[in-house]
Amino acid sequence: MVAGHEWWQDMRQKYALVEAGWRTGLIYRLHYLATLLSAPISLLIYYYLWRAIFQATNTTVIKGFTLQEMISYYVIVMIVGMFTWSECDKWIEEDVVRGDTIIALLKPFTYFSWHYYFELGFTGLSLIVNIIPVFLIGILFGLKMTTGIFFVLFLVSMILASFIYFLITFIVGLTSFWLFKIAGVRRTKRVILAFLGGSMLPLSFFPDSLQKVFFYLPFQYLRYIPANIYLQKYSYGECLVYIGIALFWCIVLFVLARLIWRSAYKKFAGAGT
Amino acid sequence: MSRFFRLWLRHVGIEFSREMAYKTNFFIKLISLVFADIVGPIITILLYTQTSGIPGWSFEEFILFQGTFILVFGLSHMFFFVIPFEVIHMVREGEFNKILTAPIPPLVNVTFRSFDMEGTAEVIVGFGLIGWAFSKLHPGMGHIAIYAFIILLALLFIYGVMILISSLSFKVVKTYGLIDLFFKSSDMARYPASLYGNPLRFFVSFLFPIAVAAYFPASSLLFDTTWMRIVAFAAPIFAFFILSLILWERGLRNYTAAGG
Amino acid sequence: MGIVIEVKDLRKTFKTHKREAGFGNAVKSLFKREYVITDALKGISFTIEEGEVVGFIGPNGAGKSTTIKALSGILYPSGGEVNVLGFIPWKDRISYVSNIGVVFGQKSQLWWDLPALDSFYLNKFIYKIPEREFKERLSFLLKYLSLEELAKKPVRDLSLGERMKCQLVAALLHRPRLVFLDEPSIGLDAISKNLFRDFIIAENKKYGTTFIITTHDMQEIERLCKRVIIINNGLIVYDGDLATIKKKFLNKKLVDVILEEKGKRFSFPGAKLLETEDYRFRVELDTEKASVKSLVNHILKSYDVEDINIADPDIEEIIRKIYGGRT
Repeated sequence: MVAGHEWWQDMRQKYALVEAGWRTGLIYRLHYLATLLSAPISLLIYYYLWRAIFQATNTTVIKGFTLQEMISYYVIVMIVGMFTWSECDKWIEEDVVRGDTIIALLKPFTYFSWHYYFELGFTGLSLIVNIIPVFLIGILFGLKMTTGIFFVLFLVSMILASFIYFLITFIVGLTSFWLFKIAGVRRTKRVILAFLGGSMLPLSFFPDSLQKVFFYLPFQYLRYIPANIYLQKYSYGECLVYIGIALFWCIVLFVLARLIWRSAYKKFAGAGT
Repeated sequence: MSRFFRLWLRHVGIEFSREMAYKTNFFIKLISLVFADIVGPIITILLYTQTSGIPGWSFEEFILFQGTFILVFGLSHMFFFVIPFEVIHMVREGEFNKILTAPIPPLVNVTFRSFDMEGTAEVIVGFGLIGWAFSKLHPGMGHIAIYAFIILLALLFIYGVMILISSLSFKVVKTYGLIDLFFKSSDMARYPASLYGNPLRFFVSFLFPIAVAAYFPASSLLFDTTWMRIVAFAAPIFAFFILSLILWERGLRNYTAAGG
Repeated sequence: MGIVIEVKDLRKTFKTHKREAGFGNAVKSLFKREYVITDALKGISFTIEEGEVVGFIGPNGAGKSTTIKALSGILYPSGGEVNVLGFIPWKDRISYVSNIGVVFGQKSQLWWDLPALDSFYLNKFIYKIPEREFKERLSFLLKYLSLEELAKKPVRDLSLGERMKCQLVAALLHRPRLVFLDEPSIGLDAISKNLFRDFIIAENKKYGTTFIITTHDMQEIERLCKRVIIINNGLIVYDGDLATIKKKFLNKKLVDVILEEKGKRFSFPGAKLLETEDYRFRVELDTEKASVKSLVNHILKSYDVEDINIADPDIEEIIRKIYGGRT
């Protein structure tokens, strides 16, 4: 009973940060509206582009995708993108530039949880607001439905993708302890994650040699793999292997984030600014 | 005129030293922009090697198309994109009165202050791609003149949009949503309007003529165009620009009347 | 009464990059970095017992903030030992910070975009404060500092003083045993300042809360602290009773007088004329030689006075004296 109560208090303590996140998110609701409007615009562009390419190429399947699958790919990438959204590198940079890091350090949380739980609330709100409209817009564009087990596997891979995305963003944010202003680093991160994650073009369009390299990088687990799991491009076994590798990356990046945070903290606490 | 030019040079100098204060960040910003811009051509290479490409456009032609888009947006980034942010910032911090009391037209002043160095990276990438495409396509001088004219038209249009958003910023302070929406909508200019269905093509050509940023100049360079067609595109853009100036003046007047 | 803070030979050396202007130097610094080494704390020791209200004073850059930061767990010292409430602050940061309250002058520890009230409610869970205790405490604090309405506004819309009061509430809600206040009265008006000082005294009496206060405001120190620790150049130059130091060093008063009409040249035994102009003059009084009362009486009798202002010499001056003229 006592142990249960303590556990509950620990959860409630972390939920306080989640709550701060979504309450702050509510203040920026205009931003969510813009995201919502941008979904049909992007889909419309991709729809016309691929329709033209399929017609010109004169086949029904390009690089393993039919036109409907291609459109569904972009819808799923968009949904996964919303699910894995994180801007904590921006928050961390703001803290460093304003000298507000001490505020986070005065709270009874690790620096990681302080940002993670806040971001969970902040992003969570945008999910609730946006995911259903985007899903419905996707259906209008002919989103393919998936079946039970693949949907579950897809959800798992998407959750792992959100961890990977957050961890990379967190690590990028920490570089601000050395580089101070990191607008350039943040943009580089965004481009790399979008491009090598497969947001712009399915990775099957890349040369085979590059695809082999991508297999060993964490990026494809952000968009490409979850979308392909949804589209049932893999067998159950393959899905599990990919999920296993994504999990492996979560652990590696988590350890890396801890190590980098430790030396960032030493740098910060040593300089005392 | 030379007074304005000297003032502009001074703002360029200020911007330069501001960026130089955080050199590492500035150079990484430049590299990140180059990187973001070459992603487009890389995708083009992949598309043209794996499929028969975008119908109606050869590989070189489409690289020219993308180069044009990058150049127009790079120039706009250098000269116009910061304007609404600057106005929002100054109105909120109460610094805008400084602009009103200076002996220079407010719009000129705000435009000069909004110069952004990092856009140079994009301009260089744009010119590089266009130059490469020119060396393959050998366009004639007449076509190039029309091409350059339409690029100026595109800049006028984007300048107009930025002025319009800025005018609204006097009243509604949070116009960030509009800026987001502009950038999202301008994605429609990343592919030729000839791919789009009729309603969307009409939309990007006349209602929100963002096709002027790449499709219209590139297609006028590559394929023959008529004066009628150019006038049909240019007239609404000129009208829109004048409208945005009127709205700006009105916004200023309301702002001054409200006492800041 | 137990010992709350024990500091032994605390040292802090900062190593900062030497930054020079110019592109060439920036390129050079990529290959060879030059460091500037500053000794912020050169080995300070003191102990503070439960229930004390101690003032940390010293000029800017003397090492006050560095000490506070080391004690609150956000700074690694370069040497020495610190034990606060049984914790080593920078090692046990997460479990330690729940036991203290901190107000850092201009930094807002509340969520900027949210109403202060929301932050207080979230703090209830963050510091695991029991429901009933929280409610009583919050309504008491809000009422006392008259924040009931203001707390509903987003923090960023509050004035500096209002924000400071909210900070104080946030720092004290969980009833910490030890509170650090770094320049706490910045931006407060005179009424709020009094309110705030009375509140600290009451809090200290009622719960035996220990307060560590850094300030430039001598009145604040006099009002709140029995004991002061004076830091200069990274060393403790005085640690003891405020009364003693006042007797020893605060034996001077500065008297500014503004005149309605020009008068004769000022002279009074025990007082020294510092500056003089047509319609005003400034005098330094040695309170051991003559009382303030006798001086003021003399001035009022001899001149047509428009305004008179009596002040203590500023802290820098006192420290200069204690330290034998070297600052």
